[in-house]
Amino acid sequence: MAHRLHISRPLSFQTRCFLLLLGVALTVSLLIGLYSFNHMQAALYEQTGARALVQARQIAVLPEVIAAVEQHDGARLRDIILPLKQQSDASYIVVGDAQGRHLLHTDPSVQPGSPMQGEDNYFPLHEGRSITTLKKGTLGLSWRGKAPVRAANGQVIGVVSVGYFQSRIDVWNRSQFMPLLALLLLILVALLWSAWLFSRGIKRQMRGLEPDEIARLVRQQEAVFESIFEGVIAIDRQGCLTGINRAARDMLELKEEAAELPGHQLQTLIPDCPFLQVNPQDADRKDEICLFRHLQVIASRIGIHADGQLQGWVISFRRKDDINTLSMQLSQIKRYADNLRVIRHEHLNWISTLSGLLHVKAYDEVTRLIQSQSQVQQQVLDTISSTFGNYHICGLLIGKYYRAREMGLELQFEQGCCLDKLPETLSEVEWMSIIGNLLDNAFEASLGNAAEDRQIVLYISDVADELIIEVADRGRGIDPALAEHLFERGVSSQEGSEHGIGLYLVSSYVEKAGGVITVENNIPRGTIFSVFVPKRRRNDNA
Amino acid sequence: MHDIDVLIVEDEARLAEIHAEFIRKNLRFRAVNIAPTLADARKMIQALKPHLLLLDNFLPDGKGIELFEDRAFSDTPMRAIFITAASDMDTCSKAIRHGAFDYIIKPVSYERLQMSLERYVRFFDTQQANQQVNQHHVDEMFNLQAKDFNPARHTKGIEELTLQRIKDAFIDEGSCHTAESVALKVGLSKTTARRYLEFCVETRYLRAEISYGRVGRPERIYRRADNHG
Repeated sequence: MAHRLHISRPLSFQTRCFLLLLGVALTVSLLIGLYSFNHMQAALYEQTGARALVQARQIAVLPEVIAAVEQHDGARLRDIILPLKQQSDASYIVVGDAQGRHLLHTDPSVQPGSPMQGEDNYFPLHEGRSITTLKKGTLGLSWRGKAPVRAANGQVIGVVSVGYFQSRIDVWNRSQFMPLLALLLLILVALLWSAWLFSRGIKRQMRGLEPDEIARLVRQQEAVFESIFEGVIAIDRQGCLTGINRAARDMLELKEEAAELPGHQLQTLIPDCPFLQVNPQDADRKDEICLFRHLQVIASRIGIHADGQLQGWVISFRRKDDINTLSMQLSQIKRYADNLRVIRHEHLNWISTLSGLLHVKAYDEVTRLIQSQSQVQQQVLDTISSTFGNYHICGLLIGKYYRAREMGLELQFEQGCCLDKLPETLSEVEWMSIIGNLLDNAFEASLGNAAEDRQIVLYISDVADELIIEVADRGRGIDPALAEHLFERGVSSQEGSEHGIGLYLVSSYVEKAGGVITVENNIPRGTIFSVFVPKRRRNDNA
Repeated sequence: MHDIDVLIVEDEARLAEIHAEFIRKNLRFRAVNIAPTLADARKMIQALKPHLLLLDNFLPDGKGIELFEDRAFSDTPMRAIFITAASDMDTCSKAIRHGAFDYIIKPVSYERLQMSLERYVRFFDTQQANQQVNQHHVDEMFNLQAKDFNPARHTKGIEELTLQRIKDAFIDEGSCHTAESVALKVGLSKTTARRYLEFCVETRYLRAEISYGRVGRPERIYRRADNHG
């Protein structure tokens, strides 16, 4: 079983790549070699044939040869032909008579008067034409050129045959082919070597992974990327989007499909965010509060480096409120547990008291004690809801009131607060954002205060032509260095990261509604933010 | 005249019975039913179409506040008096945002509940009387539902003596002040000074303008209203 598994396991990518290249290289060199060998052989044969023919013709027209053939004078022919043979590279020269019998053969072993072999004398002897033939002659297979010998009257009286043994031609051919073969072998070796380098290089670029492993890895990474709860955006050096996951698309409320987004400039998708305007020399940044399309987020930015070169950036972000909620929950769970223990203890005491009072029949006292439990909260609720004529603002203020209590602060409502109806210049959510952010700001500024300075005073009034929102704290005040830029995005006093966006939002909403926001020092310390917004737009009544 | 139907949503049977007993004393309330769970409450709202809901937040099968998110709830003229524990102010704030008619903190003060019921009766009557709703009536109903019964709210907290001292600060022709300068002069907190100054603006004794002062930051300046000509 193990055996079979071992066999069925596919070859590694590198080996397959190498084998493929090797196969192609071998086939190509083989074809080239075969073709050139054949071509060269054919050319050589043709050349040799032509050479034999030319020599035969030249010899056949020599007057001495014609005379000697006429007289069947073998000795004289020998004297003429042997020196010629010495000058030529032909294997043999034969002169025959009109009947095709040897008059002379340069090989002495052939007897004069014996018939010529090959049966190729018909054309020269009977039709008087020169030919080239490949025939097996007296001495073996050879290429021959045959030319007729004519008497003065034109009658064919004999034949001259010049021959080259094929074995000799093949030796020539091989001697020409050897360098070509060597060259081909050299090329083959070079090809093998580069194929090996190529496949190894690819393997290294693929980090030693097989293609199907890479495909699986890519799918897995895609799934991970899409399923991350954080928003993740990848951009290249030019700030073009190269990747964005589902969480990011949802949070930014992008309507485009995931496949359409890459290639867009990030600046056009999320305008006006200095955090995203990256320069190659910028360092990585972590956990900063920024505004992505009206969404407050905590974002981090990390450069992608490959081979020491910056390739782009990855930006990951979470909703700011998510993080707030989480950290708040974590820090409060322990406090709740402690509080519960205390409350239970108090509760038992309280029930003992009631039981005692009932025992002595002090019923009025029992009623009073029970009512006092809900009285304070009931009064806060009734005061807030009777003062502010908008459900949403009431809800917000009650929430903030108890939030302040949890933080050990006190939210006071200035006497004479009143709000009939929110002006329609902004939406309810925007008004809530103004009030909520100013209060959060004040809460935070008051956190480190001494016990007597832990009040925040809120005044909201719409009695005159303007809606006035004033929030006064007795906190640390505003650093004069920051005062000028207080409402710019991302400007924050060091400890209070809330300032970064909150005040920017407040001021942009107030501006949108045509109002003014002023910042003053409180007496004796702290800050007062005052917002004055006309109930109707200024240009309506101007 | 018995014409208002009430549904009490409360899982503690004895407490629910006491609530019911208390409500029945009021002659205007016709039928009083009790739903011990959220599911029962939903069914009974469908079947009985009560006018008023006495809604406890902690129920065995969910939170009372969930009813506010039901479509059935927002489609009807039904109103709810929300009852919640003092430790659960977040829910209370949410209930207010959803437009609860009233909210009562446990332990329930029956005097407070009586006030709330009386207010509902007035709201109900106004609603009945104004079948032809116009803007005036909408405002009136809105006030009855959501707001206090005190008509002169913005004069609340304005003392004649303090007001006079503030007006004195403007006795000179052309004198102008900020909330800060008045606060220092009269000895008030700045926010209180702001409140009095704005009261004077409302009564047209003063007028307010925004001045982009020395430091480039806006300031609100108050002047006498009668000396601009």
